[in-house]
Amino acid sequence: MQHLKIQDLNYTSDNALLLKEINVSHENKGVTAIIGANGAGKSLLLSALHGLITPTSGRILWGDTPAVDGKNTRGYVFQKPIILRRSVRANLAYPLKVQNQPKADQTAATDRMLELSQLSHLADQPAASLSGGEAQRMTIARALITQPKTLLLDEPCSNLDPASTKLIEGMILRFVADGGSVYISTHDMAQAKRLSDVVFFLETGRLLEHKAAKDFFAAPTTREGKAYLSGDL
Amino acid sequence: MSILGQAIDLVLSADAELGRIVGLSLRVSLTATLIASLFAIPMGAALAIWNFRFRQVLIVISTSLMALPPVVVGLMVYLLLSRAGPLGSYGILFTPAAMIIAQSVLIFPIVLALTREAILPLNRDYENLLNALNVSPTQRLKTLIWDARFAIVTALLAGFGRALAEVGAVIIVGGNIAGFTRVMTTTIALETSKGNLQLALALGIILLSIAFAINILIHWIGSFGRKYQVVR
Amino acid sequence: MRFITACCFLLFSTMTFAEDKFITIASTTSTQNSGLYDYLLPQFTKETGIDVRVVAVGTGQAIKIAKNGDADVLLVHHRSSEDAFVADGFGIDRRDVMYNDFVLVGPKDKANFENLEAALTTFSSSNDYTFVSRGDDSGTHKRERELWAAFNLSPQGDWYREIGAGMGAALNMSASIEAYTLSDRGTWLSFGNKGNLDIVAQGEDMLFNPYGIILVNPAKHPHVKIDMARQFSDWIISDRTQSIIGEFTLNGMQLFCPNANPEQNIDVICPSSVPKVD
Ligand SMILES: Nc1ncnc2c1ncn2[C@@H]1O[C@H](COP(=O)(O)OP(=O)(O)OP(=O)(O)O)[C@@H](O)[C@H]1O
Ligand SMILES: [Mg+2]
Repeated sequence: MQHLKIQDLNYTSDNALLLKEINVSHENKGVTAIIGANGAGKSLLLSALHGLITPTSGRILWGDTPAVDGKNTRGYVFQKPIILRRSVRANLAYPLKVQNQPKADQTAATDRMLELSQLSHLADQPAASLSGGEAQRMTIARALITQPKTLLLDEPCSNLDPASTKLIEGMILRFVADGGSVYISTHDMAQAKRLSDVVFFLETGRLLEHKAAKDFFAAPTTREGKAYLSGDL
Repeated sequence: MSILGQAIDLVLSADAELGRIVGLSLRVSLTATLIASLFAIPMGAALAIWNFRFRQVLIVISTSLMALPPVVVGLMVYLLLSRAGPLGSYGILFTPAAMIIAQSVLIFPIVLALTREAILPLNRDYENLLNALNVSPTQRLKTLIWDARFAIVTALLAGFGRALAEVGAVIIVGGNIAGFTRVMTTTIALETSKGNLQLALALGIILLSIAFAINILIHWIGSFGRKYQVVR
Repeated sequence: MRFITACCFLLFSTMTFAEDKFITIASTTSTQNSGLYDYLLPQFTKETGIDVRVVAVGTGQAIKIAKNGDADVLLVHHRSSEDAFVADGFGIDRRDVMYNDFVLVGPKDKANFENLEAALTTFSSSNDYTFVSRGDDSGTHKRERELWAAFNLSPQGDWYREIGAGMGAALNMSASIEAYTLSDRGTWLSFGNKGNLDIVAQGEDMLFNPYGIILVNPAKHPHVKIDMARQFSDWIISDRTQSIIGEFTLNGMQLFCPNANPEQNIDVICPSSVPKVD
């Protein structure tokens, strides 16, 4: 099993230290929930994990591979859904298309994803006309279509109704059952409890807690963790 | 006004000669538009996407080119193509090819600027996703150009319209040779100078109708493109 | 890819327009605007299969085009410039082709002038008249400058407007602002927007307007189509073509007098208003 290693990670932008001295050695499996208040640095950490931002110092390794490489083995879903100005179907097929996969494979995979995300009836609509929740479902399906090993999800359920949330969670659990690993940031503690095996708790750019989910939710060790959970629950 | 009436009669009774002139106009300007866009679209997109050396220089040059009067463009192309000039040996001065070259130079900065303008916001929207998917530079260009196609076609039509309506450059490099390099605008100039105002006006009416059609097309394409745009 | 193919196709389809057998003539707007070429050239093309492309500009510019080697034949109307062109080695075999004359045109009922000199003198010494000058280095403009000089007048002041444009533009402007201008008779007769304008002076020797044909010197520009150019030159001074030129009329008026070979007795009577060749 691949190992995720974060060593002395610092990220500075405009003289603000946004990620501070993060060190993680983590078995890359199951669901990892990334938790913390608004502005804690969850999105930044996720994009660093995918190599989208370059650390000011320190490094991130998936196994032996630096995060900037191996993007094709991971799927990424942004907090704000990024919608291509195309039909829903073309949006889903896009990652395969840029990998120059055969047309037939593209179509088959797209049809499967349309069904999985329950968007088949909207397949030929311009994706821009989707509702917020539908768009989020589409972006998750688009991340899954390349059959990645790891999924990085930045608040994928923030706009979803309970049924859609359940649908997404089902997709996540099935993905993990098939051997994938998921990193998901969320503000929904019930969801974090339901899904996660491990929790990363962030506060103003520092990784304050990194432990089994059940331990974190039973008894956070830090004052900040306690405060966050009690404020939230 | 009787001159307008006569002009309309002339349009309606369009003869073969008039048809040839209009046809040549369309062909020259269309070819120029295609050639200019072949270079201007990818370059405009590249200017919008990447921050490379000389980027600012290129932008400044192309914006200045846009402000260049057509006559000056015509004169530059003339000096280039003249037998006394560097490309003289090809002997294309006073041919439709020379007019195409001049019009391409005129259109290029317009299509370049409009393409860049169309791609800039689109790239802002797409950038993160394209990075996350590790999309190659060529694929990136293709994706952005394709998804900005409505705006880009509008840019092409704008360029085409400018080429079609332009007289200063084509009269210099084309020579306004009857039956060979005579296009709508140079005919209008000629007939005006001969005092044949109704014939000049007749051609003006045709030119106006084409411009009108182009603008309707631009609007129609624009409304089509908006359907795919995220309104948020 | 499809796009590129389409481009190339369009470009080449336009290029194929270029027939192989053609010559380019740098000439003046006055001959072009009169319609003479539309009348004359199809006959040459029919007889020889040679297409003739006329680039009609001012005499000054036509000479420049020919000097650059961008034309094979020069057909203009300013004798001293033509002679200089030949003397400088740019042209060979200058020949007379035809002539007509310049006319002074202006508002019909504004004033009566005894002759050209009186008219020009009046213009330059009073502010009641406006004169429109081509100001474009054309043959007509050159002649106009020579006329002022001949009468020791200096055209300067608000009344003298150099517009830097062709004959047609000068006539259009004169018609609309009630001004005077010098025109060649051919353009004047064929001009369609005369308005209130009419001829106010004509028929003087100084208004004689001869046209000459010159071949661009192949020693200077090896690419010129000297054979076809010579064929054209020979054709235009042939008796038959000369007669055809003499027969060319517009609204019943003869526009040009052939004079390639004055001794030759071709059957053409030149209008009495036009000064005789010396
Ligand atoms: N490019 C940047 N330049 C400067 N500051 C940035 C930049 N990107 C993020 N930040 C700041 O870094 C901090 C962490 O941002 P981040 O988006 O990671 O928060 P988050 O934990 O995901 O919050 P939320 O729960 O609201 O999504 C924020 O204060 C944000 O303003
Ligand atoms: Mg966030």
